[in-house]
Amino acid sequence: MVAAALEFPLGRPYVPAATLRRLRTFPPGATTLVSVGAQVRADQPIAELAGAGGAPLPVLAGMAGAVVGVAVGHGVAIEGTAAVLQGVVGIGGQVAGPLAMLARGESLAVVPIPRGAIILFPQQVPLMLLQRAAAAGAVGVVAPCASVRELEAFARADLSVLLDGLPTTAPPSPLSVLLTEGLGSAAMARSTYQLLAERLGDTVLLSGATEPRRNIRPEVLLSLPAGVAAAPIPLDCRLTEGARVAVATGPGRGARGEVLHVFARQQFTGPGVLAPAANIRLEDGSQVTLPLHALDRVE
Amino acid sequence: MGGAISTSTRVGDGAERRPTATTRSLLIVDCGSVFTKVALLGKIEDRYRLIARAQAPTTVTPPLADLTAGLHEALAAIERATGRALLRNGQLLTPERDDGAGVDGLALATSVNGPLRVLATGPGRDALAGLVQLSVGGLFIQLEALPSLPVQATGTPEWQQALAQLRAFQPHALLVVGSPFAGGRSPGSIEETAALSARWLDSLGDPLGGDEQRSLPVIVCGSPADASVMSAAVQGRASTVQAVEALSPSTLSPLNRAVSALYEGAVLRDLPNYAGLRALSKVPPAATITALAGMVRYLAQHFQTNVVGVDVGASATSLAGATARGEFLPAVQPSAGVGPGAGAVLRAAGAPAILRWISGPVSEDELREYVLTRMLRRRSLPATGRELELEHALARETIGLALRAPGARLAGLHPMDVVLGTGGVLANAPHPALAALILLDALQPRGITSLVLDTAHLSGALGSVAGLDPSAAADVAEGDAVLLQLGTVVSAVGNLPEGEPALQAVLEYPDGRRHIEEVAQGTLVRLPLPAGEQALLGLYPVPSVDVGLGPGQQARASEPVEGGALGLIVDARGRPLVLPAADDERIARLAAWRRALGLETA
Repeated sequence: MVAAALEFPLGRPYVPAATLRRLRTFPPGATTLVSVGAQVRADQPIAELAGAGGAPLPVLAGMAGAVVGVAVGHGVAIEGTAAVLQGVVGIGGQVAGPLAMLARGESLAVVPIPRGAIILFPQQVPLMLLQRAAAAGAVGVVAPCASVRELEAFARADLSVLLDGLPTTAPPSPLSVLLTEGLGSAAMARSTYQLLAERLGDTVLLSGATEPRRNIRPEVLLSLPAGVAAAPIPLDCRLTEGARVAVATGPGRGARGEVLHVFARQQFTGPGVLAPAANIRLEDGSQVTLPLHALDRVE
Repeated sequence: MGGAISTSTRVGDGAERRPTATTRSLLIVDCGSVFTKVALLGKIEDRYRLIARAQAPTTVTPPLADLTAGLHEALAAIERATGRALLRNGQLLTPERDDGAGVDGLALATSVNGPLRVLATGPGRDALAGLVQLSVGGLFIQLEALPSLPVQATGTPEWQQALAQLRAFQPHALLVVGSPFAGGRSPGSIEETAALSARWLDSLGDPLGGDEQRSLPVIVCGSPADASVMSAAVQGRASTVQAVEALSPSTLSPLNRAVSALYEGAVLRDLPNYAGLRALSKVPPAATITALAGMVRYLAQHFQTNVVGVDVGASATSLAGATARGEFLPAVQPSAGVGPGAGAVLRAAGAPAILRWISGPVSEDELREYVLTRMLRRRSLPATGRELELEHALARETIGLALRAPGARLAGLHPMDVVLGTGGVLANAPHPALAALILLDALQPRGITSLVLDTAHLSGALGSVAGLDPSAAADVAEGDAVLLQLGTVVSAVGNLPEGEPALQAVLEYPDGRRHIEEVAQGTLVRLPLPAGEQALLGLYPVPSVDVGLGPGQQARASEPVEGGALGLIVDARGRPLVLPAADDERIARLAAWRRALGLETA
């Protein structure tokens, strides 16, 4: 059995520094403002659209780096170094904006929502907030989870159709959403929240695109200064002794721990199903045997 | 007394020996969409035996986008289990060395990357649909009709919508079925087809429409005149144009061969390090359904009986039936399964159809969350009893979808003498009764059926080994405990009120003991007949109940029936199987059936 966590294309859900190339796509009709060889900041406009009142609407790079390609009227390829947070599932396309949190203590029904922002919401995101964020002009939401029913209601689409990449009559999502833990109810991992909270105000690039058959996951790119050493990707995703893991599915979802031992033979897990498994010491000190398929390597 | 019935069909008995081959050892590899299964076969006393098997995740997407990575992991597991070296510096050792290292050959079956997706068009497409299905039945293929919009519709919103759907289908090839009436009238003409096909190929090949568009190969199945018209029209737009003989009941093979030849090049060749995988085998890979079909055909011919293979996979569901008379009856759902294919099952079957199999209250939201999570985490397995029930419910429905799929010809097969279940969800069922219930609920056989479970998950791959050594599959199927006899099932069909006596089943054991069971309509009953034991079976139905010989016809076996892991099962639940509409009653019924087969219920 490959004792490896294979659910994230970069090897782990969080990569502290990686050199990446991304095509920053434009809406139709945008005018490109940069050329190949230019260095761009994450908050720099690289294209603009004609706004309703005649004022141009900027398209932010979202990612700092060098322009390595220009597809006129389509997008700009940027190569740079960034921290990458990959989610489990998302909806919507590629958007860029400053990372923001909502004011604490205010009802979600009335809390001010910053226009153009990507909102960090560390709890299960309700339909009402998604709708308010879209109406207020926010461009994205990063949250740990959402209920299937509410996410589908917001997307106006059957999520299974979207994940299978089938055409849908639903309009494009007005907001890109990334769920760090997945569907249902789960808390955002503390480390995930901390690394995002440290970057509040920074312009980030968010993509909600999710294609499980090609293992394409939604992602947030947090640009890093030039010169930061990048790790070769994909990162080591082997589930070896000492590896730090997160429990991604089943009972104990969200718990974190350390691999103590990977069994050479399959073990009976859950409802009596034989599966490759490992012995894990969780952060609360308890030891459990868990199937490898339920584990993500996080460090 | 009614007629005699033969109930002695038992896979694994009475095989004739075949001539030995020169190969001493073989690896068989089933590269599935989620897991890669590998088995090492070796010659022991002139017969192939299963030496070891292992599985590892299929590594076709990042982070390990290299098909051979998962295979090497599985091979390494076999090396650890056997102490036999198979790899050196990442290369397969072949042929087998004098010290026992290496193997003489490797056979490959695969379902990775899905089926060959073919757009069908042409004046004969609808009229000859039956012959097309007969020709390509058993291949891992998904046919979709090319939209019949007029050429004038090019560029219209209707055209763009259809184009979006075609792009989502990601076609590998275009099949043009020529006129069914040589020189005569048919709906549409080959000229119209040619003009329309050219427009669609232009649209599909437009690089602005997607990032991986390419020109498609075209197969023209028709007269030379049809082929000439099509060739002229699509020249420069299609990667290749291949003309094959027009379809008729006696000319099914040319199209079959042409489509088969496309599979490897169109579906597999661009997979990450497919070349590395391909280099390991001297014979072309077979699609898993094709390999399973080969295995089922062999069993049907060998035992002169009707055999149905059921492979419920993560992404696809394949059924292959073969009759004693040599008919082949496929039924395939190439995009529906219990893993990444679960979404397709949910959409096609609907939540109520799936939830009816759950013996407790489950909301549609819970089902949807489970299905989407299975799509998002391809390798995940059920983590709780509830999730296991959901997976098994999906398995029942995906088998049903395959039976009702376009071109499926298996649904009317009676009797299903032998049903062979394979695929992860069946092979990994925690209790054999769970696998039996899935097969019985979904297939609803009539008469007498022997249920067999491929616990080693090898049936598909065994079929692929025929190209290297035909005796290998037979030897392993007959000689090794890869096939678990679940037991014989008597399915009694009758229109009686629930609870009314339906039949009396009598088992006479060799030591003179008799076991008599009165079976009521609506029930499932298990009679004691352990694996390895035999007994004579007598069936005495009431006049309106049919146990396979006609209503009211009594039957006494001419030969002893074989025992199995579940003994002998009498299924008097009715056909079609209808579950009560009321939740309480339905749940109670499901629980009773589970208890009857020895399963604990909450």
